[in-house]
Amino acid sequence: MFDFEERIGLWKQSLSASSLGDRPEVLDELEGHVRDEVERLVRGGEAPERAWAAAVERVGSREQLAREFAKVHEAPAWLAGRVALLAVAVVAVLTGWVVGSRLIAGRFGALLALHVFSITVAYAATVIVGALCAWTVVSRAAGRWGAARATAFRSAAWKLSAIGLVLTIVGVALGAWWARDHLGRYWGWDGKEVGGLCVLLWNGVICGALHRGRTRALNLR
Amino acid sequence: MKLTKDLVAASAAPLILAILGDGESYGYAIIQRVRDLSAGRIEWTDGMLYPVLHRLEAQGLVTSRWRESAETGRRRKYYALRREGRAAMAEQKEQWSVVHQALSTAWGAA
Repeated sequence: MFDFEERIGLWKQSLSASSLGDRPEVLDELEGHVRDEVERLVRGGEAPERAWAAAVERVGSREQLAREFAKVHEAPAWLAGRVALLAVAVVAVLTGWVVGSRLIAGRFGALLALHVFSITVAYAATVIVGALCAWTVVSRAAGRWGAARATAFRSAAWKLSAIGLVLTIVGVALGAWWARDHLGRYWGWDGKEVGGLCVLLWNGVICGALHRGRTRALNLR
Repeated sequence: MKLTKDLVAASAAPLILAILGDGESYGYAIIQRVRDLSAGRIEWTDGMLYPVLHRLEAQGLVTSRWRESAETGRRRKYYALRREGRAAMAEQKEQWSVVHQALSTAWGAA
């Protein structure tokens, strides 16, 4: 008895033993293809076993596939993007260290410590996105730009803005909570609060725009 | 008639970009579409298509995401053109038109 699922399993196993093994996504994609092809052939009146053989042959041998996929290289990393992400990580570590030591020394309460940490890292991420944008403008003017860089830029901007947005929300909320205990109110429209709100809205706009760009590219509603 | 390997390889990216220009699609459907467009004379294998698709993605010309298909319920990886991909498609169109025109003129004169 011809067991299609068993054949698929064995076939995937044999492929994963090759150099394609470290790319499970590719295997899933190829599996989808074989299933589609078998379905089409069987619908056309072919016997399942013969449809299976034809579909697998059409996909190509393990060696062929491995050879072709070996030609694909991942996009080279964009140094500026890496530096930007690293810079935020450094700010986070330094802030964590300073705030943590004050917390231990009893100079900060837990609420204030968390607020200072979130707001500092959030603002740093926001400023660094700005710096990355400025660097992008310079790179483009110098003609050192391309689609791969644009993708790397979008990805870095997305990560940093998302960090900025989430931490600003956390920071503003914790700040309001702290203000209730110490100033007797959640919100007083003072400079720091309005500033925080502006940064929050700004990061929201950037994240929304980046998300919209991706959605449009995929023709999604 | 079978196309030479070089010609198939050279035309792969422009064909993929042109097909994705009509809307998002997935690997199997792209191969079918190429077969239809060429009246069965261009027959791609997966080993040829997917590396090109992944390269176009690494170059930032196309983007992809896994999504459940409405007809079969199976997960499929859908590819779509980015704005940069649309620009690359226009560029390819221009270049291939030049080649096509030159060859037509040359053969017409011969």
